[in-house]
Amino acid sequence: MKHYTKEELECYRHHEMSVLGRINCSAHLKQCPECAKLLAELDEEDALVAELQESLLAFNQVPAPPAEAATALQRKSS
Amino acid sequence: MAFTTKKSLLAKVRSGDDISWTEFYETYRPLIFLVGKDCGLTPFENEELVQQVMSEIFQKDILSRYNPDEVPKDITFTYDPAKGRFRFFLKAIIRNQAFKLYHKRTNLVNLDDIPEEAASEKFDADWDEVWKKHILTQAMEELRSKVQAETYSAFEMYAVQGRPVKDVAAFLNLSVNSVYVAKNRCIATIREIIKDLEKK
Repeated sequence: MKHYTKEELECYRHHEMSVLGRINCSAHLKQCPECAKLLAELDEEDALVAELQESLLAFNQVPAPPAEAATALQRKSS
Repeated sequence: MAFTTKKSLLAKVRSGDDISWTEFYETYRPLIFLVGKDCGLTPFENEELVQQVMSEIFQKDILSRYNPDEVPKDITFTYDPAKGRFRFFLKAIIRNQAFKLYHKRTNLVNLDDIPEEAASEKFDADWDEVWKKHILTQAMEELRSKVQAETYSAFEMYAVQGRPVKDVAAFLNLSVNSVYVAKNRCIATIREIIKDLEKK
């Protein structure tokens, strides 16, 4: 049985396969637990990417420090 | 998933490396700021919080020795650098300093008068959430040095910025398949980075 790669499954779930390719892949997924697992992993990865996006957004919204703040702290500490 | 601290940075700071102090400031300032925000502090108070927390770490030499007197009594733990417990120190210091700022703001005397945002359970939950975000942000930064520039760009544009895969492929002169390969490689690398941090 020919298994699908992660990249091919990305194409499948993003509707980037030809109609025939999609029908074949769909049929394969119904009888191949290995490929079905790989597809599920891609969904899990979406969750990680969403967390990553949220984290970057939150941290990017933190305003820049006042000028010389870090230097002033260093002076204070030395 | 347990997230831990970038221990190599702490080690460099402990050895008195000035550049690492700056890196330390830049690494942890956003974290302190966001925790302060969740505690209901104003932006002005947040800047003060950052300064106070950093000052405490600098002046009391928190990173090179553990001083139990500086840790609130309600927080019990044993500092063991080998187990990466710096985040508990940081959490305790931030919470202490946030209380001081509340006190300064309203002359609160009783701990019961502390706003809901800074109450223990809420603070713990917010802290865990911000810490997780901090680690993911750090992992993304570390990713840049672990994969090729083109791979990183493909991942950033497609997965993080959410641009259409075909646009990203055309912009970077890659095939759609290569963009997916880049994404999968970066996800695997990010997971490795986080796993590595967990070990430290």
